[in-house]
Amino acid sequence: MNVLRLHLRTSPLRWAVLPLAAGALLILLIRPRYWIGSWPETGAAAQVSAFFLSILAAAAASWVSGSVRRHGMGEQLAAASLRRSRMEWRRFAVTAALLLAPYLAGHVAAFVITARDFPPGLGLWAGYLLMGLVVMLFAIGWGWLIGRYLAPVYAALVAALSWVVFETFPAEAAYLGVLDGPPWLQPDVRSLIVRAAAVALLIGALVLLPPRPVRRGPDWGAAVVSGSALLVAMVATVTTTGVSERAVPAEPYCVAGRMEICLWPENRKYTPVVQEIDGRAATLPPVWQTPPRLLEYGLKRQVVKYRGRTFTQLEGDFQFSEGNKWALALGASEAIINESLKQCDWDRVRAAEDSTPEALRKWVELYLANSATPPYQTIDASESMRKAWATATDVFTGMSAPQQDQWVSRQFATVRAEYCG
Amino acid sequence: MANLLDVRARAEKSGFSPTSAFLRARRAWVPLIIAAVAGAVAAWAGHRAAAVPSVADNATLPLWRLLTMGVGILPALGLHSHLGSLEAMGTTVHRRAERRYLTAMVAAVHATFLGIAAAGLPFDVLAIAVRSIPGWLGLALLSGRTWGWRSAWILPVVTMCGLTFWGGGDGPADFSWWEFSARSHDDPRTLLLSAALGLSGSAAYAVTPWRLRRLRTAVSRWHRT
Repeated sequence: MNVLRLHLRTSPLRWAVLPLAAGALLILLIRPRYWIGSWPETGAAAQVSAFFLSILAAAAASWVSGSVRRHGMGEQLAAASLRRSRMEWRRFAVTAALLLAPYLAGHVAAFVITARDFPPGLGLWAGYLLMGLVVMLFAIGWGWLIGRYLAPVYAALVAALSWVVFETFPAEAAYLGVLDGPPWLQPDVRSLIVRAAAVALLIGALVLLPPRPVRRGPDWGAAVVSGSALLVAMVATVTTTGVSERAVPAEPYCVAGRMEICLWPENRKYTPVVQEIDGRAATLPPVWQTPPRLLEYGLKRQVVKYRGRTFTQLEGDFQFSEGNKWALALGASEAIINESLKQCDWDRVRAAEDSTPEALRKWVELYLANSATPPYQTIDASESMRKAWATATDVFTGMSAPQQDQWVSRQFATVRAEYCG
Repeated sequence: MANLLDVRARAEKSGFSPTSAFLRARRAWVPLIIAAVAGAVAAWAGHRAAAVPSVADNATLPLWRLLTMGVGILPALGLHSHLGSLEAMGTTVHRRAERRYLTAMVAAVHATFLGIAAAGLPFDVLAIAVRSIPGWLGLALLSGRTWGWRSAWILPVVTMCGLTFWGGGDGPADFSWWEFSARSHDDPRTLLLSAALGLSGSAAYAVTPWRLRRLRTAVSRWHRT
């Protein structure tokens, strides 16, 4: 223990802990703060810093691992009475502890912020914490190996660059890390265990087989074993998927009102938004019909057959994008226009390229959000769509409430007479 | 002086070449090989981009940008010498040789990388790479002067993390005004920024330990009076 403390007190990395922890906190707090109050989003948001910290960790680990060669200490260490693996283990453990500390600091801060509300789903937070830990330890092992065998001048740069190329290109598709943690996804425990085991194998190989001093010739055995362990860890990463879809909860969290709006239980912090939109829906003119129930994305599943194979597809009436009320207003407006024009022939509407129903939908979206300025932009909308949206916006902003009711009734009458006979 | 010249003449007669000793101590061929490999990868897959964490939505990082950073700082890393502490007491002759070496390495390493990468990257991307190189090199020289040439990677790698996370804009081509590694090649502000970083790096390179000591002495004298 004293030796470990001595390593801790003398490692040059101790100067990096505070700046890196500050970086992790900045990354956590400068992003949009929709993660606060949802455990999966909290875990994912704190895990994001692992992307950048791991790059620096790979470089720093290679720097530390090459220090024996850099300072010409190989002979002295070889003459020591302690086992070399024991010395290597201590150096690795202290390096890993100092490099993991900033990452864990980010998680502690995120935990404390969300724990004030303590919503359900703490296990998902722990899953994302583990996901980032695997990333960090893998990067440290990666850097350690490169630092040991490459020329000390270029090892740190090569470790940082090769790691960032690995983590952004082959491993990104396999969800080595994630950018957000929506409630319909979960860290895949089985994959994480496989990856953690492979990374443990790599670290074990590095620590148990430290190279002999250069004087006795290159230690090919240790190089081949640790290189193979690195390859195994890479393969284990790219052949598993870090996240998987969650099963539909037996009891989703539903808010009763004019419509019953159901969310993932982890998203219950959006109750005020749901109540606000539902309250607006309750004051819609009687010509509008609302569906009995709206389900958040992922609470509905549909079985799709494609080229002889069967897939389960996630569906839903709306999707909370960063907790914005417009996401619910948009989804609800689509469900309401479909319910109100349930008897109509939509194929004929499409064939006639009639944008009146779209103008009505846009109007109800603006009405539900109680604003005429949506925070999103649609890039690939057709000219007739844009015209319909402009009309709806003009009606919503330029007319009094009774005039708007009259306009809505007139539009409904036209559409029903044309397509709903 | 006569003795010194005599020593030199005798050494050269016995097959000793100061230039090759200088290059050998720095393993000058390593950065050239790394630059050639990086150039080949940039030409082959430089355009591949992956999603990265960012304050902006849907930010991506293309491979060529990473490789340009790596190659940009190689000449500064290459200043490290196995005889560094001995050379720190070097003469003006040695200092001049180091300056020439740095200039030659900057030209050779970057020409190798860009020349090979040009086989696969379009002109506007290459122009951005050319513009960002002084910035990366300047940061590397600053870092190297502060923590030693072997640690010249610290500032550039930290800066790259910062640019990736904070430099992204709302759209894929819309970066912050200070994103000198990604903004369009005809952007004047990032050109100035990159040049300023390059100049600060050159200034840092010029601040040798002995000049720093002279400066400190001068400041403390001025302070006393």
